[in-house]
Amino acid sequence: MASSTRSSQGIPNHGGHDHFWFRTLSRREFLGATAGAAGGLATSSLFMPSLVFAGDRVATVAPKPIPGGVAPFGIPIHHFPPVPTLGPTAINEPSQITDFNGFVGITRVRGTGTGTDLATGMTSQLNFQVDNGFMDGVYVGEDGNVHRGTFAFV
Amino acid sequence: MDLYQGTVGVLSNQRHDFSPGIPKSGLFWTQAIPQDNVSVHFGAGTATVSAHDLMEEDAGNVLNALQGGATTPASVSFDMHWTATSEQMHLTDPVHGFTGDFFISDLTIEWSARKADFLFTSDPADTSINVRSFLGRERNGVFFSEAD
Repeated sequence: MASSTRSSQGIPNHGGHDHFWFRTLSRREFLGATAGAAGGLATSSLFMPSLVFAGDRVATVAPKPIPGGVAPFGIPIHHFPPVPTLGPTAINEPSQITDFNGFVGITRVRGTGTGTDLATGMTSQLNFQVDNGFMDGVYVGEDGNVHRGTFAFV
Repeated sequence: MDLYQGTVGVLSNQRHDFSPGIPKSGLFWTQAIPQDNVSVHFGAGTATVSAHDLMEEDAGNVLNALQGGATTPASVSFDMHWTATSEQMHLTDPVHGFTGDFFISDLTIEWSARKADFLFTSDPADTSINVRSFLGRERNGVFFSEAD
């Protein structure tokens, strides 16, 4: 598998700095903490993708976030990372949206690539860590109605 | 989608943090994509997501992203493939309120990011290092029942 071949090639594969994800919040804690931190959350929303072609089926009603989450850097977010496992089951809630019924995928994956400064043409090797996923199914949107939609967790 | 110069996971090493941002609802780094960007063959334990030129923000690092700090416009494209490596598992989590059938899976990704003055291109998909990945069919919220 890719993981076994690459981790032995000297690529930085640091696994010890995930501690900022560890503290989970109950729903009550989350709601209280969120009220205090709301001003710190980004207000921008890029809900719609940049390219939508005629005929594509793209959700137009925003879904709602899952009720719980973790608090990296003490900042509560509606998200559970794929690792570490927080219990009680072997898998943390992989969906970012609630009132959802459908397919879901989540990952933490690492690797390497090349960054290019487009002004100078200079290149450099960069390492990546990506927590991505998808949700594809039906959901109750912010409008209270059931919709079908496909979403990327980026 | 995080880029580092040096060891990953170390905040001071992070150079780019691409995400769609967090709206006031708190919906976390989630954006709508065309339905045909996702293909799932659940019985076979496989799924593919191919998204191109998604509009994102680059917050520089994850802390700035979570704090709602300054960002610059960017776009990302990615092709991701989930392939089950376990038997299908039925799980119910009454604490977090979700249930479903899940696979532990392998994951490969090939992706790129672009800004006005910067381009990143990952190495080929077969060089991906899968840390932990899952593929599932789940229900939560109003669709959740502990009896499932």
